[in-house]
Amino acid sequence: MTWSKGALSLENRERLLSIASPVALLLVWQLMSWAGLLDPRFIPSPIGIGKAAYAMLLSGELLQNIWVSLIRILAGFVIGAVPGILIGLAMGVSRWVRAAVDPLVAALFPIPKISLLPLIMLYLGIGEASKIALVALGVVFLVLINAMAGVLAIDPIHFDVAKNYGAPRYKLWTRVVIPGALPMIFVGMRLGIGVAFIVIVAAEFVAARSGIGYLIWTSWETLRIENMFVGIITITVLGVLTTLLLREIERLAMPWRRERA
Amino acid sequence: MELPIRAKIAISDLSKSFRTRRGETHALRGINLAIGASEFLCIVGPSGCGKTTLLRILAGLETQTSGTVTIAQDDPSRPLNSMVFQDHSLFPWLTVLDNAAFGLEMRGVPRTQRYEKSRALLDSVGLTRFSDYYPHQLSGGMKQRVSLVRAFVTDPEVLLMDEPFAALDAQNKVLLQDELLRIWEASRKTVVYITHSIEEALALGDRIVVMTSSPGQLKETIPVEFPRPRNVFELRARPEFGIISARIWEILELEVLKAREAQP
Repeated sequence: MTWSKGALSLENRERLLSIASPVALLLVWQLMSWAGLLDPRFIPSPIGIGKAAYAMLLSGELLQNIWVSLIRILAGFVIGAVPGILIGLAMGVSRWVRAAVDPLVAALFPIPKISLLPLIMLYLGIGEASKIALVALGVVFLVLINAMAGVLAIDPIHFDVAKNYGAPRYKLWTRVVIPGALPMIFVGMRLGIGVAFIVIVAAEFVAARSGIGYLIWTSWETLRIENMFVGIITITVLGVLTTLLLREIERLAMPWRRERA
Repeated sequence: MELPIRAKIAISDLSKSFRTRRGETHALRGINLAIGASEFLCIVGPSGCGKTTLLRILAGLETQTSGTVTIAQDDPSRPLNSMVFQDHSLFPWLTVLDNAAFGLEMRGVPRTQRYEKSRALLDSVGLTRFSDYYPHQLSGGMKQRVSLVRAFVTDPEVLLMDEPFAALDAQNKVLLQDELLRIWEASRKTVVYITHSIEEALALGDRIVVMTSSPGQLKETIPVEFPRPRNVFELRARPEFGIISARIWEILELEVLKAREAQP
C-alpha cells in the first residue's frame, strides 16, 4: 500500500503516529499476557489494570487519593513558585540582592529535598503542612534560579531604552523585567512541577495515609500489583496534564512567542 | 571654529576614562562642541573612538569623568532627549504600536492619546498595517522605522542617534536615511547622529565632526552645504558627493589606520 501524497498532511500523519504507537504497544502487551508470556503476578495485563482502575474509581478510592495529592502539589507549588519568582527577579535586577542571596541558594539548592522530610515533620507535624512545605522547597529554588537567569538574559539595550525614555520604577518591572524574564520563569515552573510530583510521591510513600504515593506503597505492601500500576499510570497522566496546562498558560501569557517557528 | 548662533547642546572640556585591569583607558579627552538649535550634526570616527560613549553621555546613560554637557530645555514638558538605538532595541514582547508608544507611556501619557499620536507617525512611515505585529515578524528596516517613530513621537528637545541603520543592507540604508530626513523636516529638531559611514554623514548632516581614534578627540569639523530638503538618492548621484566624501576619507583614513594598529 502506498500513501498518496496530500491525503494526510505531514502534521496529521505525525499526530496519527504518536497516537498509534502507544496503542500498538498496549496491544502487544495484552497479546503477550493472553499468550502467557508475562507472569501476571509481576506484570498484569492492560485489561486487568483497567478493571482494577474501574473498581478503584467506583469505590472512590482513586479520586480521593488524586484529590489529596493534587491539593498538596498545587498548594506547595504556589507557595514555592511565588516567592521564587519574586526573589529571583530581585536577584536579577539588583547585584546587591544577588550577592546576598546567591551563596544561600548555592548551599541549599543541591540538598535532596526529601532528606528534609523528617526535620520538616518535626517542625510542622505529620499533617498536610509538612508535605506542602516539602513540595514548596522543591519548587522554590528551580523557579528562583530560572527567574534570575531570565532577568540576566535580557539584552542590556532594553534597560538603556527604558532609562533613556525615563521609565518609572514600576514600569521598568511591568514593561521590561517581568516580560523579559517570563520565558525563563516558565522554564523554572515546568521543572518545578516535575520536581513537585517526584517529591510528593516520595513523601507519601513514607509519611502519609492518603495520596497517590500512599496508594502505590500500600499496593506494594499488600502485593496488589494491578493497583500499583493504576497508581503509577495515574501519576503519569496527572504529570502530563499539568504540563499541558502549564504550556497553555505559557502560550496565553506570551503572545509574542506564539507564531515563532 | 565657527560657533552656531545659539547652542542647543554645549559640550565643554568633556573627558571620560574607564578603569580597567590594565589601568586607565581614556575614551574621550577634552571634547568641546557647540551644537545649534535645529542643527543635524553627524559624528564620524573609527570604531572604538568613543563616539558612542559621547552619545551615551549626552543621553544620560553614562556619566563623564570631567567636563560639562548642557542641553538647553525650551519646553519643560518635553523630554530632554530621545535616543534611537542600534538594531534589536525594540522590546520583543511589545507590539509595534506599544513599542512606538513606549516613550509616551513612560511619560504617563494616557493610552488613547499615546496610541493616537503613535499611529499617526507609524502611518507616515507606512507601518499602519503592522501595528499589532511583534518585532520578530518585521524586517530590519521596518524595525528601525519603529525605533524612529518611538523617538520622534516623544517630541524631545534633541534627538540622539547611535548608528541606527548600521545593520541594514545598502538599499534599505538609503531608503531609511531618506525617510529619516522626511520625518525630520517636519520638526527640524537638533540631531546628534553617530555613524562610521562618511556617505551617511554627508547625506544627512549639516555639519560633520571627525573624531580621532582613542582617546577620542575632535579632529576636524566639516560643514555640509547641500540644500534642504534633500533627496538622498539624488544627492548621492551628484559628482560633488563623491569628491567631498573622498576628502573626508583622507581625514579619517589616518585615524582608522591608527585605530587598527592600536588593536591588541
